[in-house]
Amino acid sequence: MPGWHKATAKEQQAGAVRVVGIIQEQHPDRCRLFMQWKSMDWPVMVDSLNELELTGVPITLFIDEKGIIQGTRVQPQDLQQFLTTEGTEQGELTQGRFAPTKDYEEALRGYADSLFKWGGTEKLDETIRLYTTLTAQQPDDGRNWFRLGVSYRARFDRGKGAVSDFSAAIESWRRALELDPNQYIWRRRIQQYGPRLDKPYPFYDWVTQARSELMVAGQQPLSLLVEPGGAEIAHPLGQSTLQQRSKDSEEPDPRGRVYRDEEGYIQIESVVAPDTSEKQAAFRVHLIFSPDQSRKAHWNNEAEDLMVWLRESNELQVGNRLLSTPNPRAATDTELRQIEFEVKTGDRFVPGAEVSGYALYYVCEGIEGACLYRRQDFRLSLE
Amino acid sequence: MKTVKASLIGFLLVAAMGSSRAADLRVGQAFPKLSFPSAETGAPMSIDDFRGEKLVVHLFASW
Repeated sequence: MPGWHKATAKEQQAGAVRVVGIIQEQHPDRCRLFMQWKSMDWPVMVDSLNELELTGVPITLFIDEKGIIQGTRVQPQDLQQFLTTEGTEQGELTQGRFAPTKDYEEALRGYADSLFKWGGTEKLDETIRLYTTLTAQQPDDGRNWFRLGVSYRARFDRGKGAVSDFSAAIESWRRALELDPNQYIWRRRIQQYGPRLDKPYPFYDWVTQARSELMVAGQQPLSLLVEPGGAEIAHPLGQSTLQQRSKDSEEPDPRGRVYRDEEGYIQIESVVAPDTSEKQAAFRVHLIFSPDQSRKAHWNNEAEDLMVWLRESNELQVGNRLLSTPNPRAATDTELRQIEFEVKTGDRFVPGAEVSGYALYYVCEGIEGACLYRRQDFRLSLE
Repeated sequence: MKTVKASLIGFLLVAAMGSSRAADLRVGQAFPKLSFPSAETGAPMSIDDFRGEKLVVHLFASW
């Protein structure tokens, strides 16, 4: 895209052509930051739902003064010819599966799409209800599943949903992709959160570089609604390479002497993002920790970081077995914490195999309550 | 409040049914009449807003 930007800059300035973008991403603000970083100031529209039904990007089109497509998959060297071409009289009407419809399900999906785009956060519950209805009525239409997933993830990101929304998003996208394995926009949405073995590229590793270069240039980087998580910045792993194990860490509580969090001050939930290939060679697990608000539980950040120890089995391998996430600067807080890890499956893997481990953390009870060091064991199945 | 809600639903239904759906993006076809939120403001935008101008349209992602 930056190459195109350079190639069209002169013509744009002269008013001979306008450049417009349409992105196929879940998070529009990340695209805004990208545009700021690359000094690209042309208008960009957001097609998170994949209404254009593109199966891959990038694609560049030429469109004439009458809205007719004059070139697809064009290159910068084709621009001069396009600029000297006369516009078409009239384009063909849109046809086939995209034509205007009186079909009830099509209209319902259009309504759900509109609610998602224009209804704001407060309409997300209704949007999810409508897409859920559509998946029940048309279970073989992947568009319904994909858009349901987009809505679930949006509700999770906007802090209005539970962790189960993230799981539901992954599951919905998985159902969509099963119906159309050649849909690479859908596949990317899972891979964004999935294991490194299945990644075509790191999705958002550019964010750190963008921010740093913008700061050096004296600009304030645009803020993001949700920071890219570990999976979203992780680099792909070659098929033959095992996850790097930095060193053999020592198990922190081998004899199980730390008191268990029997009161449930911290809730642990998990989201498992699968490998999108049929091999099921790896999974990425997102462990999400939340203090129980009803008990006014909160993290004690002046003590050690949240830690996780993972157990291995014959059929499952993990990279580092001891994982941690640094405490924020504030003395206490009640935010969600995430720890991600990957599990590589062996030849003996069968769906439903379990990975287990435990978390160790410092949690405080109530506003003036005691701060406690607690352990919580977990077990989750991979399928 | 109920009236406002009913009007919004009515508007969205009409908007949904009245718009032609996206087309296969082929030379000689009109670009689909779909509106999308602007990445900058969230306001509705469409390719039709640029009628009368030659356009280079990038369909892309930042990754």
